[in-house]
Amino acid sequence: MSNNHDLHDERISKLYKMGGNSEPPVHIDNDIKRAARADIPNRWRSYAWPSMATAAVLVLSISLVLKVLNQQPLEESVMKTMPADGRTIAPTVRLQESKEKAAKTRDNEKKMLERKASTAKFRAINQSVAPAPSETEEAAHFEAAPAKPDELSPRKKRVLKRDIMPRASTTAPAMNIDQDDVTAPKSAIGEVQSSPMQKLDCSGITLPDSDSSDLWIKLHHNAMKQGQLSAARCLKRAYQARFNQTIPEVSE
Amino acid sequence: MYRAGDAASFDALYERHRGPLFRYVERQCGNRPVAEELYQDVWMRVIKAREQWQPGSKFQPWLYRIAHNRIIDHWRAGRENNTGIEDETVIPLDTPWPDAMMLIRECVERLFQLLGGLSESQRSAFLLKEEAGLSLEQIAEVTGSGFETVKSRLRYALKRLRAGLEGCDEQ
Repeated sequence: MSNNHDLHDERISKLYKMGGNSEPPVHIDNDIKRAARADIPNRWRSYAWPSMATAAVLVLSISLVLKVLNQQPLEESVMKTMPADGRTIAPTVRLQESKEKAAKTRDNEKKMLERKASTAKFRAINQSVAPAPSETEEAAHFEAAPAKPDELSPRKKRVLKRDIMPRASTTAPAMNIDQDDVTAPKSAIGEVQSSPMQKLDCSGITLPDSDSSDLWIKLHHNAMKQGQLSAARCLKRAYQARFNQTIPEVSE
Repeated sequence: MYRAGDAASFDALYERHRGPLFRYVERQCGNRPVAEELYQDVWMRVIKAREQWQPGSKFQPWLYRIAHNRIIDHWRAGRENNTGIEDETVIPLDTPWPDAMMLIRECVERLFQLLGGLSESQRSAFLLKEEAGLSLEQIAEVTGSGFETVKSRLRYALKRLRAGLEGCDEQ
């Protein structure tokens, strides 16, 4: 407590308080208050810039996101038409490509129809000899009993001559079937055209009714293996007529 | 609140502290025109530095620290311009006296004369306690001194004032 007495004297405090209450002049009070108020708008102005910049960035970001979202369905439709490797193509290029694609498809369809027509010609020739079996049946039949011209019975030969001759003359004018000889049409066989015309009897051969070139090649190779050269030759010509290309040779 | 931009809170704060702060500055420098200038400058510093005030801490010690530093700057500038005024040099007070009884008036006049005779640090400790009502810890914080230093300054100041006020006991 003695410490408190050392640090505080009530009598001195009273005398000090009686010393008067001098105060600052009013004009200084006003100046200070004005300065305090003037400083606040400046502060708000300094806060306003970052706020406005943030707001502008937000608005731009949102509008950008909305724009992207609106474009997404269109992009998805474009993605569906895009090539598998995922390249990005300009719209004009995509349009041109789609046009080319359509033209190619039309050409392919045309070629397919032509090929089918030529195949139909051969089928028409052979239909009278044997009905067109399925692919496997064809192979089995071809391997099991390859028809040789010599093996045809005289009756079959007569039927062939009677049934095919008129049809061949109407459907395939270039094809010349003279008795047991079948000459491939010039338009159907490219390579053979340049070679001297060979007399080939394909009347006893059942050609496959398949679009699978592999099957044709297999049959051709089997015929070659078995030494049925005339049958192999018939197959080769028919293959050329159907697929518009030469049958590959046996590698062995 | 003013820190957040509320002008009305500043007015309330100013009204609460204007009198004691002005008297503190005036009795520290002993010259009314200089005191007015310093007082205004202190508030300008408060306005500019309000972002530095930590919410939750007391405003009064912070305000008086600014005032104390401003007065010290003034003293230092005075020392550079004038012929050296050392610590513990008496600075006379120029205070308006109350119109009271003669004996009381004499005692008050003597007290302020004695205050002017105290050193800057002793007077500062006394004024911060009597005028601002700060605790010893707060005085230590404001003046940047140790607690024990403040105690010894205050004790010495009161001892000198008591010695000078002999004969005023009956008041």
